Amino acid sequence: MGFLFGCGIIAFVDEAVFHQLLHWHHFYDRSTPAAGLVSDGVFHAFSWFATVASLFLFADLRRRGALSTRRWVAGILMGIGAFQLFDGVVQHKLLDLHEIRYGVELLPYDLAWNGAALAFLVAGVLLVRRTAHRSVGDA
Amino acid sequence: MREGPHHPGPAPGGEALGAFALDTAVVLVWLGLAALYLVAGRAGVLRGRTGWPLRRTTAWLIGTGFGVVATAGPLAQAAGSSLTAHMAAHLLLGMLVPLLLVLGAPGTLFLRAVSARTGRHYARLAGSAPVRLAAHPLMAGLLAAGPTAVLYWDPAAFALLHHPVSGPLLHVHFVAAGTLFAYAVVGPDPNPHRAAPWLRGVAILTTIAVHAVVGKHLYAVAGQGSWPSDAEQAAQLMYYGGDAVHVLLLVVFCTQVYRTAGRRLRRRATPSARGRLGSAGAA
Repeated sequence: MGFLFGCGIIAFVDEAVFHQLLHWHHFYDRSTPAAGLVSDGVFHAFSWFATVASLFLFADLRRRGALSTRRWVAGILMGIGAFQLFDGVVQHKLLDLHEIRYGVELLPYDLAWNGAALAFLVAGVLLVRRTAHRSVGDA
Repeated sequence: MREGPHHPGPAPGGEALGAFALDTAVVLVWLGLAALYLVAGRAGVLRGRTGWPLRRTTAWLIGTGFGVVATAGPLAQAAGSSLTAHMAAHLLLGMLVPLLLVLGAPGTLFLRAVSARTGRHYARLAGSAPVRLAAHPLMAGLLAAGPTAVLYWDPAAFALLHHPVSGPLLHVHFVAAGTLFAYAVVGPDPNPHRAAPWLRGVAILTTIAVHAVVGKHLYAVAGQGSWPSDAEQAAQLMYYGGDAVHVLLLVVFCTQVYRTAGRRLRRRATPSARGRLGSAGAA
């Protein structure tokens, strides 16, 4: 369930760092086609929902005594990676929602963006595999 | 009198007097709602139904207080000439006030205050087909978000909000539709056909998405057409201010689902304890 929380976290990092602090891409660049605008709206709603709901799910796991912090952290990493990869590939490229930065050569930015996403995703998967081995070993 | 882009023509003295009368009437309506709630609470206590949670009364009174702020006084006056002020009033009236009123659980309070016979009438009404249809989360979401989306999409439709007749009616609609939606998704009041949590969640998600799309669209068209000069700022207030209320709504929704799941967990965990309680009660 950390997966949801990871999605929420990275959505807000994206909004806070790249939109508000760096002003690289504005929250809306006014050139977006209708489909992109709708998809953006859905993702906005989803990121809020994921953030709030995931914290309640965290509390629910704790209440059931089924919380594994490692798996939770792994989930966060995978959520960050998956969301950022989706943002980088589908939102930026396929839907043309917005670019990472304007007026510069985009390739290095895209590589860094999606490369970082992949790194998060792989780290998360590796961590999950380790916890899975451990629980099998424990049993 | 202010003269904004939406109030063309001169404002004679009679109009100022009329505006004052309208302001007073609006304040009286909100004060009346607050007083009715307190009277109903008192009536419930007289019937021996005590133990009304203070947070519900607090929610209702704050709700009516924000209602006054949004419909009378400086903010309401500024809303005539500034789209940003108008948007602040709209966020209060259409979203925050309805949520707070619904969290006040007025239906439950009413049932405590009246006789069982009247209560049965109310229950029949709440369970009737038209109410059931209107209080379906998706229908209520459509009623709340649909007209709002149209109004903020197009300057021609938006002008209706400042029409002397349709304007106040639309504001009543904002409160009513918002309250219906809040009741449908997080209402603590009895709801004979309460939708499943996933359906209520989908309805909340959809309205948040619609709100975000309308906000960004307004931002995109702010410089064009006959939108007022501060439309850009108003759109951002709509987007981020709407988020603030939506997060509150999500927290309330998740808290309710979390509590319900907790009750189910406890029931499952202690069937024997329940059995003991039952036998103790019988003995």
